[in-house]
Amino acid sequence: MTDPMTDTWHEVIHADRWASSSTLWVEDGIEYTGAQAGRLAAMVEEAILAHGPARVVSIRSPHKLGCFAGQLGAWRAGSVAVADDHTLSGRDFERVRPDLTLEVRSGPSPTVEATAPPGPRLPRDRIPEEVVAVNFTSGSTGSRKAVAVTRGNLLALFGCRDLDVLGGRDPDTSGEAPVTAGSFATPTYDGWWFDTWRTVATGGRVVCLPHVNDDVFAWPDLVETYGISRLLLPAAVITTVVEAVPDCVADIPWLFSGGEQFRLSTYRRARQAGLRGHFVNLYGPTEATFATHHYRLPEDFSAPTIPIGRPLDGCRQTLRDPGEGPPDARELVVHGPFVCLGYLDDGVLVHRFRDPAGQPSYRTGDLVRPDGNDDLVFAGRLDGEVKVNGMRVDTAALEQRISTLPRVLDCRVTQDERHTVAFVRTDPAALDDPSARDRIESVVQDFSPAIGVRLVGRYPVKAGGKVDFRTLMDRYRQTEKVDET
Amino acid sequence: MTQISPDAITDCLRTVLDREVAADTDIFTAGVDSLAVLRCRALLKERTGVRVPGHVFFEGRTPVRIADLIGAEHAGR
Repeated sequence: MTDPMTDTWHEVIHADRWASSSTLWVEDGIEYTGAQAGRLAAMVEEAILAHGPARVVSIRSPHKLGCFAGQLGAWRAGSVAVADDHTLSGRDFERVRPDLTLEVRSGPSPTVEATAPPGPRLPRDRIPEEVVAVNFTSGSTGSRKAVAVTRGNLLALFGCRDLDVLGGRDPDTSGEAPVTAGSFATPTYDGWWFDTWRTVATGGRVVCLPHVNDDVFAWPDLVETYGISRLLLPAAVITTVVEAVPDCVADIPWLFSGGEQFRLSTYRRARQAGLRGHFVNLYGPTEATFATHHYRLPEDFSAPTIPIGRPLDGCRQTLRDPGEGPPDARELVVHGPFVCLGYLDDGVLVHRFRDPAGQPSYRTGDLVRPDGNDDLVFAGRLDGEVKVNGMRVDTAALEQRISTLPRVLDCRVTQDERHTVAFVRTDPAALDDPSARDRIESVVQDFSPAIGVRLVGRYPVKAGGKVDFRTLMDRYRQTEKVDET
Repeated sequence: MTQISPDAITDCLRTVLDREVAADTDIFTAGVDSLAVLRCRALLKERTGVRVPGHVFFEGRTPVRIADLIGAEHAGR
């Protein structure tokens, strides 16, 4: 008896495209055919099999194609593929305990080198058979966790109609009409599954974009040459690009935002800069493969906050009374095939994401409110309520309230051992305008008189695109000292 | 070989930050962040046609040193 999911997975990893002479991948100015990716995968598979059965294989490559073809080769060899663009730490590896590490280089003369760590291997059945990959959480709520991603998770993502662009399904395959996707995500970020594997599994091709800090000016040529139809960027990167170099994304018809809240100020700025494409806000915990909710922004969007929207095709949600927090907020619980199997630690599955009935289910810890149109609006973290001088403060409500004030673009509240500070991003003229400052301070005072206020022209951003709170707080502490002396 | 003078860089910084930055100032202690760097790079490209990678700013840190690095990058090509 065969399992239909196993068959479908088999079709993906052994498809004709891996022998095709059509361009499948573009990276660093080199075009690769499906056959070239397939040959690199075959080298990886051979290297794994030469070292005996390996349940978990780490694939290290400076090239995205090395990670991608490495995943394909590892899957064909029956292994869990852990892609590493040289950013995983010793602690991350302890979570998954690879049996084998491969160094993969693509380019005109690809190479694969294998190293097996010393010592006996863990038993093969240490991780359930359906697990094929790992997502690492961002670690913003503690240390990075390793999430077990199954074949079923990825197949559900490949088949999700709500992520289609250009409004069409391919009648021959009943999959998404082939797209050319720009790829910005690194292989250790869950956006990788959308950028690369969903694209290729639905017959499309991938064009790797240089990082913004490298050569963002190359983007328009790549968009035009290959006809890039969609691009996923972290919300903070969209903000930066839209503010500094909007022309670089002007000709991409579909822009997806993920990873963080997509801010209304960014959307407004994009429209002011003349960007006419579609914008989609995606939401989803790393524990649910890639995304669980989506919101396509209408042309005339006018609400104060961009919703996370509604569940993607295949996903279900329940709203749970958290028993604490703001009265109308509910904790979002997600169910269905996007929910991953559980956490891995020390090389084994240590926690399953299941409800009491044994069905895939994950409590996100995120608070949401319905907006009256069946769309959900993010309302903060369940653990995000902070205590200021012993009083609970709903920081999400504070941020939203401040963001609606005139001349305010954005607000982020953060806390260290000594200070709780609202960092308010305003238009440049408001920075030196006492009346704007007074207005903001009086709203903050209503929430708590102990919260500091800083007006800033922009937020420092970390390499991954998220707001750099540590730098913000360092600057605050420095100026606090000056103020005190 | 492409050369961009320290003055061209301080001109861009002035436009982006709306204040003066001396050619030997560490721009990151003067409040320049990654968005300001990107704006500067966009301006330099518009004014000179040169596509300066971001790492040149992060490594150079002062307009003089950034100009040196741009010269070295292009001389090495």
